[in-house]
Amino acid sequence: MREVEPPFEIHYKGNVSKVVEAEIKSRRIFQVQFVDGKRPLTITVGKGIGDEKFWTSIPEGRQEEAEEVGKLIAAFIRSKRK
Amino acid sequence: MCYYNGQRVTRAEYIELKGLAKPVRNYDFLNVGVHNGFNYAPCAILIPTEDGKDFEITQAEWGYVPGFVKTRAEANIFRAKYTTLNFKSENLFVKEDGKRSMWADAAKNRRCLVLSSGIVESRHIPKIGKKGQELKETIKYPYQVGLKDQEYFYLPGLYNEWLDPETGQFVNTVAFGITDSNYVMSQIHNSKKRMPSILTEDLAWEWLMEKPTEARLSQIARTQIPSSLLEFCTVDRDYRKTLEATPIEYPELAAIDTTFVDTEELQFNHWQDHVTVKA
Repeated sequence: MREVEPPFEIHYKGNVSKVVEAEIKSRRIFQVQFVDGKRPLTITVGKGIGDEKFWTSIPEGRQEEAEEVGKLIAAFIRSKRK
Repeated sequence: MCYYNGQRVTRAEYIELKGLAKPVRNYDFLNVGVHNGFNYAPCAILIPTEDGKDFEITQAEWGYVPGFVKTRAEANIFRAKYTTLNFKSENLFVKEDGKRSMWADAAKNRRCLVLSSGIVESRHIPKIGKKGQELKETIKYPYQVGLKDQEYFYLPGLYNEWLDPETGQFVNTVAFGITDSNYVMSQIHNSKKRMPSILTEDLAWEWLMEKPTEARLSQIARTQIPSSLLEFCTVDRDYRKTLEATPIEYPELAAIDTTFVDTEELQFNHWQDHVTVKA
């Protein structure tokens, strides 16, 4: 079974944001906590109609941020594997 | 075919993503070691269910925001100005000037419990000048304080469901009660001599699930835990950044005096039955 990532940090828009992973309903969920008082963002990877993967917010409404932050999270996880 | 967040997805995927909203909302994120209040980070609170027969765990931003605040920017200004991380238990219903407290409505209708695994407070030690004299400037030594043999404990909380107009979503915001410090906490939080009101399980239940009078609620909110039930240690100063309280020794720091903890007398000690009697 894949282990849940321990909390880590990403650099987003000039600030350090903390990321906490959880596994909920067999999905990898990431909650991003911002230091500037903005509401935490929860994101996951969805699957599009042609099976393409995309980052998306839960609940809906913050797609742009989800894509921006999702890329940073993916880069962080990939960098750990190297 | 459906759209989720503007993306074309199958109906099955749509249902699955939609179905994540509630468990995500209720996820407690308790695995975070230290909640830094000044980030207004989410913390876990217990609130009664609508029928009042049970309770549920949910998330709230630490830093109470009243309903009249209109925008997220205003909310952050309000919290910075009034520091609504805590409420003074002495002012639960009535302020010092005799007027109704801003907490009164929440105390009557929106009580909750804040779950905590430990708090961090700083001890202030004056710096020493070149001539050996004490200076006004102080050095801060952070301590983590928890309860002996208890992984979690309960703080009396007041919450408000605030509508964030920018997202159209309701956000819970919370403050917890503070009271006069005990002997040990007076030494640790020596700049203010205050501490969180830590409740016994019975008092936590009464605060959350029952309908006590205003006088009784005020009494519960002022609960002072005896020093003998606390465990504490100094932690690394980077806890605000790392969100972890890492125990560390400061060799230059004098130990906390615990000489009299077993004979301590507190006005609002509601923990009498929990104090271990030494043979």
